[in-house]
Amino acid sequence: MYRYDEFDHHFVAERSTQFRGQVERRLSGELTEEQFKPLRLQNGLYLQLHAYMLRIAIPYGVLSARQMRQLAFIARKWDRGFGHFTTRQNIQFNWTRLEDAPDILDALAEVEMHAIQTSGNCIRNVTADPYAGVALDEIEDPRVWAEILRQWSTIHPEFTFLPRKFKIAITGAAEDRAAILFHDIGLKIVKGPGGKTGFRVYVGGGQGRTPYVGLPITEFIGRDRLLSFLEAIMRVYNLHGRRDNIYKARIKILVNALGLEEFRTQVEAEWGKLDKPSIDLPEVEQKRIAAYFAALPLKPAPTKDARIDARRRSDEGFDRWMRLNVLPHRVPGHAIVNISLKEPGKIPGDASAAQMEVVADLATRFGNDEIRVTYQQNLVLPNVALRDLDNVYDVLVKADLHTANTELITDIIACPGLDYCNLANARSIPIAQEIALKFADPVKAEAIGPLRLNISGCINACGHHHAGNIGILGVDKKGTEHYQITLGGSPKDDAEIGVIVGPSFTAEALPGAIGTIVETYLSRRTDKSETFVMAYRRLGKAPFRNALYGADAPRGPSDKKEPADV
Amino acid sequence: MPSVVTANNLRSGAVVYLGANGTWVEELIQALVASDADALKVLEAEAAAAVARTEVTAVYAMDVRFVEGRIDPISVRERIRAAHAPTV
Amino acid sequence: MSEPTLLLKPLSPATTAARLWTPAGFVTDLWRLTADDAPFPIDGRAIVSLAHWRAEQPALLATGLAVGVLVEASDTLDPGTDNLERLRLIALNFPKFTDGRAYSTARRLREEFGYTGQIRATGDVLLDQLPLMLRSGFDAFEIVNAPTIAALERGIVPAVHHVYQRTVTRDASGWQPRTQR
Repeated sequence: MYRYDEFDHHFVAERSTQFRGQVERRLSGELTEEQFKPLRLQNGLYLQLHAYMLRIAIPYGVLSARQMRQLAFIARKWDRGFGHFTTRQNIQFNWTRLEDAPDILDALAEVEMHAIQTSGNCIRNVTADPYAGVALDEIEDPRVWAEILRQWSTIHPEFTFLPRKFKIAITGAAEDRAAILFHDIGLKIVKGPGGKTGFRVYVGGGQGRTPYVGLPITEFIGRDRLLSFLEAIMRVYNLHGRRDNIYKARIKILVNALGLEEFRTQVEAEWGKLDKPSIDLPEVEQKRIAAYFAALPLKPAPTKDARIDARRRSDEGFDRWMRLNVLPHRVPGHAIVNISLKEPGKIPGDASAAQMEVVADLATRFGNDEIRVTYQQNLVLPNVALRDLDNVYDVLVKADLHTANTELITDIIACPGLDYCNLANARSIPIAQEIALKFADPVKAEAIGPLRLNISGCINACGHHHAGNIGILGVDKKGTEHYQITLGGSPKDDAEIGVIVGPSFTAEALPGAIGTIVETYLSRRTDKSETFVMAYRRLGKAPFRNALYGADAPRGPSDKKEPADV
Repeated sequence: MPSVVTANNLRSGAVVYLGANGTWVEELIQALVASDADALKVLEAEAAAAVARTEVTAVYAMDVRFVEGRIDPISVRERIRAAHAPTV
Repeated sequence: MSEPTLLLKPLSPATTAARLWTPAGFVTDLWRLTADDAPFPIDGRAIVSLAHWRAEQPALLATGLAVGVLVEASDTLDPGTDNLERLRLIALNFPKFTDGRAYSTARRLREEFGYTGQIRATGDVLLDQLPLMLRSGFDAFEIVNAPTIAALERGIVPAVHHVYQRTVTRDASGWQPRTQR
């Protein structure tokens, strides 16, 4: 993985010192809250309901064991002993103090981490395929370019006060595991003319109040011109994105107002005038960064292990975990291990300091020191030898990290919601807990099959509800929490935005409603190979709607009539 | 509707309420309650001074009601804040 | 529910008479902002609105005065018709420091239009944004924020020695010192 050189170390140290000074100026009253807020946000510090929340960047979701241990240390020393992994592959600490923030940033700098640009109207942490570099279906490792983009976007002088936040995701694999079509810019590494790799660039995707699936602005841009092309996109957005209404300020609104053709014309005109050699990365530097991500020297090994097989036959739990949480690695005899942070009844994405240390130790002992964070709020050991899987599992069991539910209905994405978040309209976590407990029986959950259930506590959609096969959005209805259900969303290559199924439900009625939806699917699917989203696409929303509200319920997505309690 | 002035402590971020004599208290029960708009104006002026002294930030008034002698916030959000903890 | 509107606007720190700062320190401002309907100053240098410049270029140039224009964040300069090379100064206004459009305009002026006169930041110009502005092509700063002026008088300018992009100032960007090793 990438290692800071002297330059990066100095950069982060300088930023940390600068933020310490800004905090002092705030505490002395020299800076007003209005002036300080963008500065603290650019260093990841929010004021939430109960305390300051510090959001720390985990660049493209890659962590070393040492970094994970430091996060555990921070959780114990400056928080309440846990952290929350987010849908942007970051970690948040919910109980920090403004006064401590500079010390936390120093502790992060020790392990080559920071919180720069995890908030604010700037280019946020670049996210990537969590299986980068190890996936079977990969064309090229996207971490190289994620790191290049990290450096390019870090304190970019022109793009630090954009109309609104800006999110970039990148994948180098055939299957999209980074939801690139729901980002301001989505990058897919593809083979171009002559077999050279470059990028297909999507623009204007996003969730929030007005969800859009990204549109292809170019089918292919070579590696030698990626940065200048992105700079042209950013400049057109910075100059012409709306600044009069924060709900209309994202690039997706500009792209859709201009139309893709006109937007592309403007970007290409800008790009034509840029001094590209001063922006684009010389090949020698591309190679220097790529060298950090050279494939590990893993020795191919037999793909069968008698001990593991015997354990699978005798231990149902281990067998299920192998089936659901362990994926093939590009090197035979190795595996990608998903560590679920979704034990039913627990807070999705939360990990205690002790759990972080367990994962760090596993990475050191069995995983070549590497850990990944997924946007589904789980962790990954990307490099585990097949023969070690039982040992890894046994350690995970002791730490309650062995839940086998990858991509199942209990693998719920949920934002912190009104329990922590200043922007939320309704709670997300208790809803996630209720639903997960309802489907906690692992046999039942596996029988339902792949089903993405995502929950957001407000329209900002941090919980990706639009992209959930079942999406739940918390709304405030005359002072009480209600939940709107959408169906049919997908975050993958077949990206779709979920459709509202009908009037919203109370928190009490919601788990029953989800049960009704699942029962409807199970009774209507052709067979087990037809997943929830496939069945939904075949059936449409009518059978689900009828099951929820009765066949004579009013049609359309209006929320005027209260539903019967189901 | 009766109201209380709330804020976050600038240094810790903790939820606080304006109490007697311009002090900031963490327990809602100790907060001063403004029964009308004029009383609220007095509290707001005290809060503004506290903002200027960099004691608190994010100041606003919230509606409350009295339930069995206790001060009870109207909104779910304020009930969660007043508990100083998530509900989960 | 969502985030409540703050009742009390944060107290703004005192603003003061504008001072002109450049990387060499505070300097006397010889330029005067001249309203569209006001007579031109007899001597000195006049900053006029972009609309005024566009409407009255010949008359303005005939005065023999040095002319600068004030460009609002929403304005788009046209190098074909705006005769930028005749302008000694272009002031780019920041209506709020969070409005970042002028950074792009400044870079365009320097890098695309080859503008070599003064690019002045006006409006909500604050200490912490000075390094970004310098790197985007600004070279003069009209400042009314008292704490910013006080800090600059004490010689405090946010230090930025390490940057990842080259941009206008042709800084040794992150990859340059590395590749030249």
